Parts: sequence; structure tokens; C-alpha cells
Amino acid sequence: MDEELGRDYSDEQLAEMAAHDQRYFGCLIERYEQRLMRFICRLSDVSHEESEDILQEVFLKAYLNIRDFDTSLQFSSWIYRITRNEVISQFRKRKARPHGHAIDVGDEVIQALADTLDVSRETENKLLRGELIKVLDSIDKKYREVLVLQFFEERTYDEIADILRKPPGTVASLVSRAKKQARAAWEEIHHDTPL
Amino acid sequence: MTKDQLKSSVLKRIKTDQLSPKPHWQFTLREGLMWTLGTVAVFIGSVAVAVIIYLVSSSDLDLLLQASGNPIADLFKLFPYFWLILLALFVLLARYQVMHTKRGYRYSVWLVAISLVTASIIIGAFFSFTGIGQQIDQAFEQRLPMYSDLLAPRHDVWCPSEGGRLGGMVLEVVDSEHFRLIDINGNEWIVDLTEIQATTADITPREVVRMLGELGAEGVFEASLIRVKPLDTPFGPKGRFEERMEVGGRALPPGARNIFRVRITG
Repeated sequence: MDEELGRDYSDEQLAEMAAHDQRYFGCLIERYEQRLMRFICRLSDVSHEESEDILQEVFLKAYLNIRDFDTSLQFSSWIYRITRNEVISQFRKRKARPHGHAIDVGDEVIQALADTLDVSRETENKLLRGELIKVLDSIDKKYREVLVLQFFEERTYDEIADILRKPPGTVASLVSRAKKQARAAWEEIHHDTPL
Repeated sequence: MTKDQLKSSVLKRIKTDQLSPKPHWQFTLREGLMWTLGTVAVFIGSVAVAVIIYLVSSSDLDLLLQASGNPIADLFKLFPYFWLILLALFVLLARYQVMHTKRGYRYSVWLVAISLVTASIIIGAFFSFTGIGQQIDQAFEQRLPMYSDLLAPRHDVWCPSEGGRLGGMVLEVVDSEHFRLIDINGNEWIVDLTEIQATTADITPREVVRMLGELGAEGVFEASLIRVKPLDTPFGPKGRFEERMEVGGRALPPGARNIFRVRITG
């Protein structure tokens, strides 16, 4: 029913209306639930139940702060930012280092990442996927999250800048350094395999 | 949890806990506070710049560089560390505030920092025209003993030394070629102006003067260059000079103001 209700509105319009009517917030939950659940899993190694708890907290925080949403931004960037902060906050509570465990993306995404990193094209997709997960798990958290945002969440530099609250130039450098570190990690894993 | 279950669970919690979005004014207030604190930080940084401009412009660097001795060491003594550190601290604070505004994060850290320093310099230059720099410096010097101690070296630069320089306050004009002077350490000098280079200066008691020259007979300084400072130039760290005057049982001549003014023309 809520899907019908919000069908004609953009996320940003729904966010404005959600401040006055919870039903519109329900539409936003429907639109973002799956995407954010995947994002949480890609950033962290929490269980499915824990991911749901995090996601619930994310939506509650988003609802409480919905009037802080700047309509000149994309709503997706804003809610991704809240999600990322919540994941970090959960990890601080657990004093653990985030590791992703669910890289549930299509082969084309995996191949795009492999191409960008300029790593073995001959490796079979299944193997490549497993090795890229290892690579992503071994690099710094700040680099991992920009690669996840760029390749798995398909966010632009400007959107990543809004999510991480960093200047777009800094994001570009982060991505570049992330690729460098990922390539080094790949070499470490395949130290006998020339690239 | 299915798709609908999560939505229902969130909406249910909103209902049972009677949650409602925070009012818009809270966010506006936070944003306003960030900008206000940032502006205050830039204002304080600008005051620091005004004081730095005053300190540099009143330090008679040109005279010092002509003096023999070690001008580099003097430059270090005159370097306005305190105000530069204060400027840096408030620029950092302003930068923090700007970066934490709604859209501040989009600008590069360096761009924000350079813009804030530039703004502080422009506003500080304007302040220095209005004399705020001097007023702040003197207010600090009179009220904060720590500040005086920290900046004492700038006065020491004008103590008689092998560098052939002397600064102090005129006590009495003896004749058109001699006057009595007290230096920052409370020592009295007779300044001999017979060898003065082409200089025109009115010397009156209580004026602060800075000179280049040579030590003559005991207690005599033979000036070759003299610069009379504006009447409101601080003579030295507050307390230091006055305490010494009291300890030494000396005081400015009671009729100092009535002593005639002489024109010294080289």
C-alpha cells in the first residue's frame, strides 16, 4: 500500500513529507531496506540479526533527524552516511575491526573491480570473487569503504564525498590510494603470480 | 525478518516510543552556533594579526639591522611567537567549525585554512589601522605579568650591549646636546648628542627613545642615531621598570613636564 502511496514522489520529496506523516517514511524504508542491508553486510561481518538491529537503528535515527536532511543533497547519500556512521559506532562498541563477509554482487561488478585494480583477468570469476574479498578484507577500513561505495554501491565521487563528509578531491585521492593498496594486497596474495 | 516486518517494526517503535522528528530549530541553532563560533575565532585571529602588525611595525627593525652585534638573534627575540601561536590556534578552531557546518566538508582543508588566514590578515590589517593592535598589546602588558615575561626579550633588545644600542625613557633634558635617560633595567645614562647624524627630533621628558651609538665614559652613551617613539609607546614590561624605580628610590622629576623642549638638529 505504501509503495503505491509514494510511487510518484522522489526520495527527497518523501523525506520532506515524512517529517509530517510517518506513512511516507514507511515508503522510504521500503525503498532503502534491501540496499542498506547489503551495504551494512559489505562493510561489516555482523550476523544477519545484528545487521537488522543496525538497520532499525539507522531508520530510527533517520526519522528523528529527518528535518536535518538538506534537500540540496541526495537522500541516498544522507541515509548512507547515517548507515556508515551507525556501522562504525557499532564497531566502536564491539572494539572490533570491520570485515565484510557478503560481497553479493554480480560477476560484472567483480570483473569491473578486477579490471580497475588491473589484477589477473585469467582467474575464473568464482575464484576472483573469493580473492577480491580477501583483498578487501586485508586493506585499511577507510580504503575498503571507498571501494565498496564506488564499486558495489555504485556511488559517484560527489556522492561518496557527501556520505563520508570529505571533499571530493580527498575522495579521489582515497580511491586512488585504495586501489594502490588493493593491488599491493593482491600481489601479496599472489606473490608468485606476475600481474 | 521480511521486508514488511522491518518496516512494521520501525514504525511500531516510532509509535510506541512516541518518537517524533526533532524540530527544525535545533538543527538551525546548531548550524548557527558553528558559524558564530567560527566567526568569533576569525575575529580573535584578526586581533592577533593586528597585534603582530603593531609589534613588527614598532620594533624598529631597520635600526636594529644597522646596529652591530647579532641581528638574527635580535630577530628571534622580537618574533611574536605568542600571537602567531594564538593566530594558528584560532584559525584551527575556525577551520574545525567551518568543516562541521552542513556543507563545510565539501571544501578542501587547505582551502578553508588559507581562506581563514587571508580573512584574518585582511581584517587584522583593518584593525591595526584603528590602533586595536597597540591597545591590546598594552592591555596585556599591563594586566598579565606572564605576557610581560614572555615578551620581555623585545625590551631587552634595547638594553646597552656590545651591539651599541640603547633604549629608554628621557628623564631630563640637560641642554641641547645632552639628556638624562633611564633604561629598562633602571640604570641612568647621560646621552651625548654631539656626534648625532642628521636627525631632527624633539626630545622631551617621559618620551621613549631608541638609539644607536657607542658607550662612552661610564654612564655615558654617545648617540649617532636617535629615534623618538610616540608618547604612548610602552617603555618596558609593567612592573619591572616601576618596581626598580621604587627600589632605587628614584622617581621621575616632579616638574618633568615643564622642562623645556629642545630641538636637536644634526
